[in-house]
Amino acid sequence: MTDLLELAIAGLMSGLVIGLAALAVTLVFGIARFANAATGDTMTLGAYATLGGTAATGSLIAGGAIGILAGAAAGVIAYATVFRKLERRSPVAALLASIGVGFVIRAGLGLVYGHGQQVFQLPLVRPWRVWGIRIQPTDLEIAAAALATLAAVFLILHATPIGRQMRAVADDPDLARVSGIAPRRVMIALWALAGGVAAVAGCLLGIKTVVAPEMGWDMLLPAFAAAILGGIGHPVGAVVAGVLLGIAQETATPWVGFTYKIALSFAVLLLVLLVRPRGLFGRIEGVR
Amino acid sequence: MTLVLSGLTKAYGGLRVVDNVSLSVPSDGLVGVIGPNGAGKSTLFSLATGFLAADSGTVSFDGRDLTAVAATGRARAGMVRTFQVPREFTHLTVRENLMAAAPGQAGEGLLAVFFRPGAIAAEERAIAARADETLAFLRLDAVAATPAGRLSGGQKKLLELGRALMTGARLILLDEPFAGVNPVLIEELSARIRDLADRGVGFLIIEHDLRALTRLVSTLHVMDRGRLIASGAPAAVLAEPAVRDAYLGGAAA
Amino acid sequence: MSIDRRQTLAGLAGTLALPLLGRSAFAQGAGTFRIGALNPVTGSGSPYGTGMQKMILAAAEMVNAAGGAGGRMFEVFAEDTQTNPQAAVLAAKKLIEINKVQAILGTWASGVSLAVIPLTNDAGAILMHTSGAPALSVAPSNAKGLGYRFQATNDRFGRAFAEIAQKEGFKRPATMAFNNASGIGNTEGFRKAWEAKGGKVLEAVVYEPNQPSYRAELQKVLAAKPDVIVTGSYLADTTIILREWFQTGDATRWIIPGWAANPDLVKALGPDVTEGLFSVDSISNEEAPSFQMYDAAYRKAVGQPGLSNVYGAMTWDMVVTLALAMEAAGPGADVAAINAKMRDVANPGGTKVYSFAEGKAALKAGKINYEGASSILDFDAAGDVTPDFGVSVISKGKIERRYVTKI
Repeated sequence: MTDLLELAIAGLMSGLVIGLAALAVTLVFGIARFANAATGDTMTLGAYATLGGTAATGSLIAGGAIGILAGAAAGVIAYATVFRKLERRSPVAALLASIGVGFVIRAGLGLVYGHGQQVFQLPLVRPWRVWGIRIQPTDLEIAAAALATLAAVFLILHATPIGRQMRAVADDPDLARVSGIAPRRVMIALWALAGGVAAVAGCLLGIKTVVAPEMGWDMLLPAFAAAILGGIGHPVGAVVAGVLLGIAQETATPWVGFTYKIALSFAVLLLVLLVRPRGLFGRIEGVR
Repeated sequence: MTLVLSGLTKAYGGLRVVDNVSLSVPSDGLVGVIGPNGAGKSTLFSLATGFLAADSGTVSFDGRDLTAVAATGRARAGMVRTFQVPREFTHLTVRENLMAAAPGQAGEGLLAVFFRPGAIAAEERAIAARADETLAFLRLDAVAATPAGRLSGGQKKLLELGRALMTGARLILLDEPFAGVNPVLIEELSARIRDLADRGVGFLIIEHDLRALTRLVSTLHVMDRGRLIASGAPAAVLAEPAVRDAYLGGAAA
Repeated sequence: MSIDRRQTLAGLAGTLALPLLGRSAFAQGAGTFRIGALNPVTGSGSPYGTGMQKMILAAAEMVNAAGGAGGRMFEVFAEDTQTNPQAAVLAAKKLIEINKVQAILGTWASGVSLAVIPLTNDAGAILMHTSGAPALSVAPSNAKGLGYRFQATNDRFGRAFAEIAQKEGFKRPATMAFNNASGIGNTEGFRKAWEAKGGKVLEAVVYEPNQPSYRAELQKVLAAKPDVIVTGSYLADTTIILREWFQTGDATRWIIPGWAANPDLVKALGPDVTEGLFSVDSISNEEAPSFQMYDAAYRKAVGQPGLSNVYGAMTWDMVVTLALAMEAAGPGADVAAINAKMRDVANPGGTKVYSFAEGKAALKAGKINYEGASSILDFDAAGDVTPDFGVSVISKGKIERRYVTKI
């Protein structure tokens, strides 16, 4: 039983990181209305920027802040140079462009940092034992960071004017424009927010594993799966779905084995979508 | 006089959709426009609010000539219109819908959230207070936290009115506000409009529900095929034979 | 944009004509022999790929400077596999179809070599690689006998692991394998050899790449309470697994392949975590003069000792062996004829030679036996060599060679 609980905890931690990545995906999908395949590489950029920032300032917190800024900047620059021009085109064009943007980021990082791995040099600690269950303090810190990011995003979305405008644009872009909401400002805020969130996800993933140019791109599929499972465009759904998939994956391994646990999370996704096509929290969108 | 439309004309090809129409709405006035379908009423609204450019004629509001000003400018000057089919942000709550309509949130981007949290919080409180006031006025406070998509048709019309109010408009052009609304709610809406007029907001209203409209407005204009064919007190206007011919098809009302 | 039928037909005809155009324009002149240097410049093989590629270029230059092989000069076309089979296949196609190479040298990862060898077989070209997967020795991969392996098979690695485990006195091994041909080849090779010694493997876990955590996999292995864990793994996953293992506090030993337990691993994890790890790799033929030549070339091209990259010695040998086979086959020989001479110039019997120049001269007198920089290069029937294995232990952050194991 303790084993199963430890697996569940491991799944929760991985799920939170994937959930953050899914949050970045779903924010862009809800407001800019397309699937952003550059999310993964923005994560990688955030991880490298945090590494660089930590090395330069000596503090992981400061490094993390630099990472978030880098991610936000990357998002805004990508919007200004690429996605803004594609606003009138189909979402497929934007998706393809985002793959290109991701590729440019990935190649740039490989050029600057090389293709070997880098790691966050954090002190290694033994786990705590709580009621016989092993809990890693680093995991708790990662979870705390993830939850803090989530709280910040929700606060911004629900308690600030710009957040309300973002949700209005997600709801009905035409009505938003007619109501006097400036689309340019909302989009810049969106891309900065999504980029910052992706950067945090990448930084946390880098702390858990290693930092390499392909790390974010490799996480794209699980992030998309969680975003879809949660209901495209629904921020809470994305994170909940990420956690759900993570826990399902890890706790199933005693029966399913390690090689098929990934297939399991996609099986879960399939099942849920069959029963509830809009995802866990998604809404039925009318087409105007 | 708050709104003065003078000699407005709009033609498509050879067809004059609006033909030399002049009318005015005083600052606390309730003025109605009726006419058969295709008479040009909605087009007149579009010309007045700047969604369409007139071929000739002027629009002035509070003494200011707005003929050359675009729609957003006229909205900012205080002239706002609603649409026949109400549209709202379905997933935002009723209160949030009202707050989203409030102007003056320009300049608040994402950076401000981090650098001026105090100012933002204060502004939010102010806008929320105004929204709550408007909700109370419209008797919508019970559904303040409900997603706007779940409101009934009539409630959505009230919400539409509320959004117009939140913009601080002093002249509201209502396009068929009573369409598809039950009689009780029509009473409600009319009462609210009267209250607002007492507070100094002018209204120009297009309607087909003559009974409701005549009880509300002090002046009635009748359009037919682009032209104004009668203007004056509602009862007098409706009695004119030309009006009966054009609008009522000659049959008794 | 609409394309009418005439334009479409013209376009199609044009594309069909291209290969013909290519062939006539780039026909293999009597003067050059084209080879492809297809190496992992990026991806998980990147610590080794650049060095491998530079050694191919350096050796080719050396052969050309000595007058060429079989009357021909080498022309080298260099590409990056990205340690990724899909990218490697695209690069191989380009090398074969556009550059018209007749041999591809230096593919590193098993997945890459397995993907590329059908292409080289179809084109009748030689593939020389440093991959471990046992499948590369037999049909269908090596049905044509055009594949040569300059590294030990994963199977042989596994056997070496078993020798080492026995020598070190371990009794309760478990294995963790990256889910690909190489990783599983290592641990399967270990299992077979260990069971042949009468032992039993307590737990064998196969894990997927690119996971945010390997906690579950580690938990399963450690639950069997092994005294040593033998891995078939790469640097990134080894880093993550060892970090998570260390934080459990469990005291078990590790036997890890040298491409994963390398200085980068120590740099990532620090001396505490890596203390006492066994790092096992095939070693070069360090005493031989051929190794000295390679070492000098490596230092010149890369600025590091030749010992730092066992694969560099292998790709150096690839060029030299190919050149000697071309020399033995005579001027204008085709690939089949050259291929027939590969074992002739490298396997026992005849004068031992340690360089191309030496071999070229000695060939005039009779059979030669090239002893390479990477190993003595005795190719068995499947085209595989059996190098020796160096066993190192990581101690206070340094990887120290303790002894050599032969199998």
